[in-house]
Parts: sequence; C-alpha cells; structure tokens
Amino acid sequence: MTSSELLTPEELRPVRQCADEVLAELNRILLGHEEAHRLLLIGILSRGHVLLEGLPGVGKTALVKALGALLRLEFKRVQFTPDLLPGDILGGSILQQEPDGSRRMVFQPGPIFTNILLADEINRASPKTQSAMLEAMQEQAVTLLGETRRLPAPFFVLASQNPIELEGTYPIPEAQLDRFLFKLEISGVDADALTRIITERRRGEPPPPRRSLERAELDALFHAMDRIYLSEAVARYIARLVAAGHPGAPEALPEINRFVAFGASPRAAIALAESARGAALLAGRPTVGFEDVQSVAAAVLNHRLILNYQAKLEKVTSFDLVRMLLERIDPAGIDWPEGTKPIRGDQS
Amino acid sequence: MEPVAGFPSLQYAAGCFRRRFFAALFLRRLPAGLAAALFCGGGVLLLIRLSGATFSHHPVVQWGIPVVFPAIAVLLTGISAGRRLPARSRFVAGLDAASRAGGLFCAMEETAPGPWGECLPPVRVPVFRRPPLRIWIPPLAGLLFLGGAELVPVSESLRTADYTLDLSAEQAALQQQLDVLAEERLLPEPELRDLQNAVEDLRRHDNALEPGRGYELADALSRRLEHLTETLQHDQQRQLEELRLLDTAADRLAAGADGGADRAEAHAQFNRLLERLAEENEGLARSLSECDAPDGSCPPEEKLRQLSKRLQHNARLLEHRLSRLNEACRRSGASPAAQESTGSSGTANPDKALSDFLAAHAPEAAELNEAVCRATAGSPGGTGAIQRGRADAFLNFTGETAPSGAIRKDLALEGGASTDDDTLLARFAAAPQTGDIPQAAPAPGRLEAAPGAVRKSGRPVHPEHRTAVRRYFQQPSQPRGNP
Repeated sequence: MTSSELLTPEELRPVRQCADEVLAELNRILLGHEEAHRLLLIGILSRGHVLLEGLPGVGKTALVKALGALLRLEFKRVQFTPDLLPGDILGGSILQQEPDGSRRMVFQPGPIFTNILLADEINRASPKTQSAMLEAMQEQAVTLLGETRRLPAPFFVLASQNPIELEGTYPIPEAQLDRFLFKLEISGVDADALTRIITERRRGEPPPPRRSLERAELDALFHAMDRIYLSEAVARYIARLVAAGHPGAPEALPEINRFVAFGASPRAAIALAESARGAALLAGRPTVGFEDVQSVAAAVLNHRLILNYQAKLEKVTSFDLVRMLLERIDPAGIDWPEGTKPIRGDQS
Repeated sequence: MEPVAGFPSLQYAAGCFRRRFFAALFLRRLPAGLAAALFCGGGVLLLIRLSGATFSHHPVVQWGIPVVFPAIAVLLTGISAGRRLPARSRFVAGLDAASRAGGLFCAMEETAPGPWGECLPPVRVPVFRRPPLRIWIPPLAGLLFLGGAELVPVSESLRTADYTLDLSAEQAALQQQLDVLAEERLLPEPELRDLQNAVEDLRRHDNALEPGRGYELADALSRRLEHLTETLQHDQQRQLEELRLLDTAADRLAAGADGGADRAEAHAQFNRLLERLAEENEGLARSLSECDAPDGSCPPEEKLRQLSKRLQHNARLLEHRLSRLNEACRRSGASPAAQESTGSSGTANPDKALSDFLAAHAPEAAELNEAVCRATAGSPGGTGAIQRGRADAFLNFTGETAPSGAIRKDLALEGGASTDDDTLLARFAAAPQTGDIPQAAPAPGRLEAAPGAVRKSGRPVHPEHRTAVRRYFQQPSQPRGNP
C-alpha cells in the first residue's frame, strides 16, 4: 500500500468512469470477450505484460491494436519467426558516416522501444530471441554493448501464442513465462457475437474507437491504482494462496502435493496484489477485497504452476488446481470447526 | 446460525461473530470430551463398586463422579475452544468476505475510512453449518455406560465372598419352636399362620443380598417367639398349678365327702378353681365340668376320683407340653428362662465371649462390640449400626439405612406399624444419639428399661444370633468354629 489514506469517492468516480468507458469501447469494438477485455485492462493498469493464448483468428491481434488505439499509446507489432534474432527486437548499433566524413556508431532502437509491443506468436522464436526480452519485460530497459537504455513508459508486452501448432515452435521458458502478469485464453465467440460480426463488420474489420484516453487520463488511472489500499488481511490471503500452491508446504492441499512439481514464485504474489488493485479500481472501490483477488487469481497463477506428469496423465489442468485453492483456502484465514464451515451459497 | 443483516456496527458484528464461532467450536469439540469423561467416570465408578469399597455408595462418589467428570470435560473444552479463537482481525476479515465489502472492513481496522464510513455495505455474519448429529453418538454411549455403572446392581457375590450372614440354624430353631406351638395347639390358628408367614419371610430375605434385612427379621421373630413362649410358659405353668390345686381340692372334697361345712367350703373352692380354669381353657373346663353333679351339689366321691385322675392326666400333658416348649427354647438358646428351666449351663459368659471374639477379629465392628459389652455389663444396649461395604447392606441394626446413615428406623413389636408408638419398642439410629428419645411404655418381656435409666437406643445382640454374628465376622482364612 502506497498511501494510508483512501481514495475519496470524488477522486475515485472520474477514474472509474474513465476505465468503464475504455472497457465499454473495447467491448464495442471487439465482440464476445468481455472478461478477457476486463482482465487485459487490469493488466495494463497494473503495468504488467499479458500473454494471450488462442486459436488463430479469434482476435488477439485486433484486441491489442484496439487497446493501443484506445489508450493512445504507441503500438508496434513484431511477428516472431524462427529466424528472428535478438537484435531484430532490441535494436543495435550501426556504423554511420557523418557529413564531415567521420564515422561513428549510432544506436538504432528496435521495435521494442514502444509503449505496446505486440509479440505475435512469440513461441515461434528461438529461446535466444525470447530471452532477449527478459530484461526489457522486467527492468523496462535494454542493455546493449554495456549501455542501458530505458524503454518508454508505460511499456507493455502483449504476446500471443497458438496452442495447437506446436511443430516448429519453442515453449516459452518458465523464467519468461513468470514475467507475464496474466495468461489469458482467448476462445472463440458465441453464435450471437459471430452473427453481429458478420452483419456489422465488413471483412471483420472492427470499427474505429469513438473515445480514446488522453495521457493525463491514463496517468490519473495509474495514480489511482497506486492509491488503492491493500489491507494486511488481503495481503495475508494472497500470501497464503501462493504458499498453498507449493508442494510440500504446510498449507498445501493434497492435490497440490500430487500434481504440482513447482509452485508459483513470489513474483506471482506481487502480480496478484497489483492485479487485484486493478480489479478493485474497475469495481469502483478504494480498497482491495477478497473477491478481487479471487477474480484475477486464475489468470495470474495458471501459467506459474508447473505440473508433473501425473497431472498430464489424469488430465488435471492448472485452472482446476487454482479453482481448488480458491474454494478451500479461507479468505479470512479462519480455521473453521470441522463440519461448520459455510459453503459459498450460505453467505447470501 | 442464520446470517443477520443490518448489525448496528462492525464492532458489534465482529463480537457476535466471535461469540458464535466460540459456540460452534465448543459444540464441535464437546461431544468428544464428554464421551471421554463419561467413559472414564463410568470406569472409575465401576471399579470402585466392584472393589467393594465401603465408600462406593457414598453420595460424594455416587453423585460426584457423574457430575465432576463431565464438568471437567466441559471446562477443558471451553478453555481449549477459547485458546483456538482467532484474532479479532480475522473475524473482521471473515465479515468482510461474507458481506462482500471489498476489503473496506479490513481497511477500517488499519486506517480511517473517511467518507466511505458512511456508506458501508450491510454486515453479514457467516452462516455456520451444523455438524452432523452422529458426533453425539459417542457421548450418548458414554452416558449409557455411566448410567449402567450407576444403576445396575453389582452382584453381591463379588463382595460377599468373605462375609455371609447365615441364619439357617436360627431359621431351623425358630421353625422347631413354631412346630411345637402348632403340634401342641398352644396358639390360635390365625396367630400360628402369621408366625409361619414371618418364618417364610425370613427365609426369603435370608440371602447374601439382604443380610441386614434378614438379620432384622430373624431378630424380630426371635423376640416375638421369645415373648410368646414366655407368656405361654407362664400360662402353662399357671394352668398346671391350677390343675394341681384343683386336684388337691378334689382330693379334699373326696376326703370330706361325708359332709359338713368343710365339704361345702371345699366344693366352693373347687368351683372357683373350675371357673378360673374355664376362663383360660374352655375345653378342659368342659370336660371337667361333667364331673360336677347336675344339681350343683357336691359331686360323689367316685366322680371326684375320676376327676382327680383326669386332672392328673391333664397335668401330665401340660408338663409334657411345657417340657417340649422348654426343650425347643433351650435348643434355640433364646430364653434365659428356658435355659434356667431346662438347667442349661451353656457358655459361662457368652456375651463376653462374643465381645472378645469381635474385638479380636472384627475391630471395625466396634459399635456392635460396644453393644455386646454393654449387655455384658447389664445395661441396655448401645447405639449405632454396623456397616460393612455398602451403606444399605450387610449387618445393620437399623435395617435399611439410607447411604447417609442418618435416617432413623423404628422397630416395632409383633408386626405393628413402625409409627405406632404403642408398639414402639426402641428407636434406632445409625449414629450415636446425643439426646433422649421419647420412650414408649415398656413392653412386657426382657427388654424393660432399668429404673431411672434413659435408654437411648439399640439393644444387645440377641443370644440366639450370636453364632450368626460370629460367623459373619469370621474371616475366610480363619477356621470356622466356636471361639
């Protein structure tokens, strides 16, 4: 928590309205993925990187483009291919001749020097190339030839990957995977949305945005995010959730011990806290609640739990395990007497 | 527990939640604790009763264990539940989660809510699910076990192996006395039947489970028969004397048959004797009255001789009857009169012998010994009751004394009502008396109070029961036999 004073309703109202407008516009531009849009906006507000996973043609690239337009941020796209080199992303120094005849090395920034970098099909690039983005994603800077260059603020990496074309691809290393705030699954749209797409959009082209954020509005959103209050009880809940995901931990569930090889890192707890603030802001509350943590937990944790072969054998996914954690870990940390713990339906 | 919306304040709701949580925790843990306590208490109580300890039916044991053990369980459960209560901040967090307050309640614990304090969401307390009823099965089983240990009578044979009150010999002697009374038709039929019923009653209660009751019945029956026998003996003796007087009168009459004033006087005396005898024995008087002349004049000499023979015959019958009665009493060893009449010497000082035996072998029977000693000293019996094992059992002058040992029991004569003061012979109490007891009129017989003596209670061991008492206090390792 960065501030001990809560945001007043007067302070919160305009930023919430602003966020709601962005969300509404996003939902208008792209149909059928309201929850993904909400989580993506939360990710942006949390200043985190998001990995979008989905079949080809579900609108991953269109989503990122629309978001960039809405937020009026500089947007660049890199199509990751197997022959892509780190320098193609980060940039490099080239020898340039001056008008007076002298020659010097001039740094040419790569496409990573932008606000929003769309790394399309990131799993097609080699691990060497993928690793080149580690420092940029974590440090918001690039070091080349011993010189560190800051990336523009804000800086987001919105990567996409195809879950079915595995031939010729390289799975993202866990170290890089851990740096993505969310991993969102973009699924296909339902028939109603598809009907609207067909009838209202020629060639499926989304309409231009009617509203976009000014830089000051975006800064206000980031500033409000910093003032969203995270109480110790909620922080303790986040910590217990992450700790319970580690096999062998005292609070680990039996299923975690059975199916998980490695649990989430402390970075996951930080990611949970930050994204929960974004969820609270979108809900119009000055404080982070337990339900905010629960609403983003799946997106934060599902790609950080490393499952073992037993899980693959029994077809247990990380989403299943996260759901179990949310159901069995009591938010308040109360050790209920056996047989007396209320089920969710009782708390109405 | 149902969720209650609209608590007046978060503080009040947190306190309510905390109390409900304590109650849920307490009720969840109580069945196991109660079950353990009830089984332990029942086990302890059963062990005490099986061991035959004298205090096993003391109220402190009988009612204390069923109360103390569960009370300890309740207390420990409460303490354990209290120690497991989470911190207050967790209850607030629970309320926040249940009310979907979005972390506002938790934040209010750490910082000022500002304007948000005026628009708090309704506070909802989580609903506790009821634990299954099957958790109460173990304490129910424990309660049944404790109840069984409390109520099921333990077999007396387990604890009476060493001590048995054997009244079989006394029963046989009483029955023999009764047989003599029946054969000689010394008592009317209803009274004989009543005595026979008393003997049957004694036989039913002469068992290891009711030695106190059996002794009391034997004692009462012995004294009753003793009193009856003395009375009968007295009457029989008197009748015998009257028969002899009548015989003498008849002889005088026969001797003075020639007439004169002496004959008239002898006749008058004869008639007076006959009338007195008729009051006591109608049948005898009827048969004797045949000898009288129909006109009331002096019977002739021949009739007088016949009368004399009949009188002598009846006198012999009476003597025979009396001797049988005295013999039966002598065998039972009840009546000193019988002993005197039969010239039985017996032991030189049987009371002293019993007293010495009790002092040597049954020191705990101090009160009984005291009673015997007082009898030896010639004063009325002492106080108290003898208790061994359970308070309501074994050898107890007060009969069915309550476990507290403080309830008085009146011992009435001849089956009279225990509250009938006219038949009240003595009033017994389990504890030594400190004050005078109102005395009824002394009944005839050997239990009259000495002049000027304030008889408090109790009486000495009946002579014919000394053997039973001695056998009762004999240890199994000691050889049975006369001291």
